[in-house]
Amino acid sequence: MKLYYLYGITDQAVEEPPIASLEADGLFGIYEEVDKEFSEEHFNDNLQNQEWVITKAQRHQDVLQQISDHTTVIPLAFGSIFKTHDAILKKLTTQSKEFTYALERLHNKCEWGIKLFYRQDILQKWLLEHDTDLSHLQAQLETCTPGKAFIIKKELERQLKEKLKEVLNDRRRSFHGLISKEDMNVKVNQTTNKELSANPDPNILNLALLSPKAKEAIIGQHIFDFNACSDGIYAELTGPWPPYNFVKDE
Amino acid sequence: MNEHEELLFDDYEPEQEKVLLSEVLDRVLHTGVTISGDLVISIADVDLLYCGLRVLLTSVDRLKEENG
Repeated sequence: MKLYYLYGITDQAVEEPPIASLEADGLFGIYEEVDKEFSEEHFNDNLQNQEWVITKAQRHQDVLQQISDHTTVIPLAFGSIFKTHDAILKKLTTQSKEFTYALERLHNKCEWGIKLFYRQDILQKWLLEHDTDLSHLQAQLETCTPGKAFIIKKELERQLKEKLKEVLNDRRRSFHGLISKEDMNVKVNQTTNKELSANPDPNILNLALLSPKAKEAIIGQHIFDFNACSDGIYAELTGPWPPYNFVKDE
Repeated sequence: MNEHEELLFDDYEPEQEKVLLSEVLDRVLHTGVTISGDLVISIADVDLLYCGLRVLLTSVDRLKEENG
């Protein structure tokens, strides 16, 4: 039994064995023949195997990236498996209008990921140094009586907590606003859970950007400018990616 | 170099790899066009199409819960 893993749809043929393409209505389905590990009998079992999932997900990304570096591609969902070439061709034909429109929309664009994180210890230190109210309370703490120190310390902790929240909100909003002014689609994704993320710092903003390929330098400059403020809030940029987050026209 | 600068410029390549892998998994496992939203099994067998994504997400989440 042959199985075909369909990675994406493009408007150009790709023939780099084992990657091949099938054409219908000016659209090309980019696929690879895969073995029974993707069959219905084995797929569910393999999904329990974390290493298998990681290897196959990485393969999915590698193939799409290879295509995306040269032409526009519509990424398909992980595990899009077909049994025959005809089935792939049928899909290309029946959805050709949607795919053609999506390719036009995505033409010459790529996706970037920007996440904002913060280091609490650095941010708190920065606030204590730069915020007038907090500096004033800190100064009072150094000279007051032990009894009064208890009350001032509590007040300092309370204000520090509030101002931390304020500065995080301000920086997040202003960065989002700045990026949104550029000529690109911006999608706000859910912030990543610390336990599931490779970065242990709290994530306060998770953006996907669909940008013309020529705007790479502008995005880089925004990141650089943002990170120049040494308050412990920092941006991480990843990409360019195939347009995973922008296949739907929203 | 102050602490913030160290944060930005530390040489953390192994961590960088982990960051990229989590970004890959996030995109590959949560996005992409689902050609068919349902699992379709053909009785006769000419076409067989899987949409593995929903199943996968459930599995991976379960794996993470089991591994703590």
